[in-house]
Amino acid sequence: MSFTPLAGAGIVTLWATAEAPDLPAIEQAVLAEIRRIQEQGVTEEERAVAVTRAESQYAFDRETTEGLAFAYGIAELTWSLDAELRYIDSLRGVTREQIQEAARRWFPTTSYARIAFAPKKAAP
Amino acid sequence: MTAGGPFMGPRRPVVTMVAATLAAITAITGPALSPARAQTPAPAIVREALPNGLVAPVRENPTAPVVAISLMVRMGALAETLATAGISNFVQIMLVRGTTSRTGKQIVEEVDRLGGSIDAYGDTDYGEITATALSRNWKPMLELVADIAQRSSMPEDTLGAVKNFLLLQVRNRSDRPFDAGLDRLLARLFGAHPYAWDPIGRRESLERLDRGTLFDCYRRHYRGGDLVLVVSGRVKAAEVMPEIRRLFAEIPGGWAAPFPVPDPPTAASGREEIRVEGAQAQIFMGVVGAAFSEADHAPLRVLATALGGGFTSRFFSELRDRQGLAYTTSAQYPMRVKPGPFYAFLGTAPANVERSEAALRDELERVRREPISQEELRVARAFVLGTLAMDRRTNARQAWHLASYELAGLGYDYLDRYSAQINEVTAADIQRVARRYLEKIRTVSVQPLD
Repeated sequence: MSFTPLAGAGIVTLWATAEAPDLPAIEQAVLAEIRRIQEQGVTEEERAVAVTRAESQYAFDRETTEGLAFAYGIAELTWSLDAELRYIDSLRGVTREQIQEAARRWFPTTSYARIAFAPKKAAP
Repeated sequence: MTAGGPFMGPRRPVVTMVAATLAAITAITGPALSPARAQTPAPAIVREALPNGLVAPVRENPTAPVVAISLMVRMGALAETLATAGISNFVQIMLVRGTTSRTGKQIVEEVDRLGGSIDAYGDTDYGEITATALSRNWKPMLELVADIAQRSSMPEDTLGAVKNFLLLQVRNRSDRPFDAGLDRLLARLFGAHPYAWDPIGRRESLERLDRGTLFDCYRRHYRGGDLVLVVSGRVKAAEVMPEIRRLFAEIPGGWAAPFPVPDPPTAASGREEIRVEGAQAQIFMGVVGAAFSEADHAPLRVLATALGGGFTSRFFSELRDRQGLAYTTSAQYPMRVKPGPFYAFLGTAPANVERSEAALRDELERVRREPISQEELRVARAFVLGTLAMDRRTNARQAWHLASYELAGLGYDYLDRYSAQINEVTAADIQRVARRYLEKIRTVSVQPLD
């Protein structure tokens, strides 16, 4: 699953590779998981792991001078260098309630784009 | 291969500043991008050999809040035979599937909590457990690597799935024109020598491997004298080294018994065609080159680069841009502990096979006939050193490089010497090695099924 922030709105993408007949079941499992977060939220451990994963990706993306230059360039172009430098602190402050609210607001389970590449005979 | 020697001896911490290497990198890549980084001191490397033989260089690199760990073991295809081909990679993959105190799922969950990654695989000359994490989590990640390396459970319930996965990879290689062509070339060049097969192994050998055989291989190779552990990142060597001593003290000392490696067949010219489903034809021309510890390695590396190492190389400018014969083309010379393959590759339209093959052969003959120009030499040497520097931008790659050279007995500072060797290569050196190694060439032509 990935989230690509853009200057306007971002794109959240989830992808999976599977046997073609399993695609409907996978889609339903993903939707069920989103509904669970919308209704019950996430545990504190899930929140902490998610923040750590995001922090890790951020750090490794900027490990090289090339990665750092790209990140700073994007920041200057689309938001601000100051916001870029404060990004990790803001990430660490995300609460379980904010995650639940974001799931309710931005992850509608009845309105999303779905694309599957499957063999002709097995297309669901 | 001779086991052991270079790694044994009294415990001797060594602190070395690798400023010379960094100066060379700066000369190639230009000044650092940010003033803050320009003021960062050169990473320090502290090296220690444990009483059991395990060698541990720790590289302090404060530039990013991350750490990379490489535990490299002397095994890989080089330690295999036709009957056991693929066992090193199989063993390595099984290591991250479970230990006596952690299931595979628990390993994955723990890695997630540490903001990291972990993987294990077998390659041609070695096996590696490679891990990354946020630097504040270096200690639990090091503990996890130690557990995986010392207390594998080789869980029976996942062994079948891993074997099926590997067999599928073997089958996929035979279906892909490039892999099928390269595998055939290596088989012809190396015969019963382990460089003849891909580290994934062979169907016949993988099907026979069972848990007992994998365990025997694991116990045989995971001995102190056959291991190098590198930690690179925002860490303090003074804090990491005591943990390494504590966590890896139980590894048995000594080395695996030396594994005899048969010589490759005598060099001979030859040509064969194979047919694989696909739209493009692939042409391979190869020979056996020099080991990376040999004096001829540096001139062969520059030769490969001048022929097919970048947009200005001969293959690219002459065969692709001027004659329009190639979709893709390159010359490859992977670093190997023993004399390894040196090969030219060209992908073209099936209708152009004959002309492309002749043109590729002409280029290999031309470089034997006449020396390359001083400008080609300058560009090729800069390209070799530049790509080497670019390949070491991350801590994971730094750890890999340091571990590779330590394991080969060349020392972690080998690249300083190697860079000097590359800079000293002359056009006459290149013509000399071209004449010596490119005399009898094996050709494999892969063409689409009718």
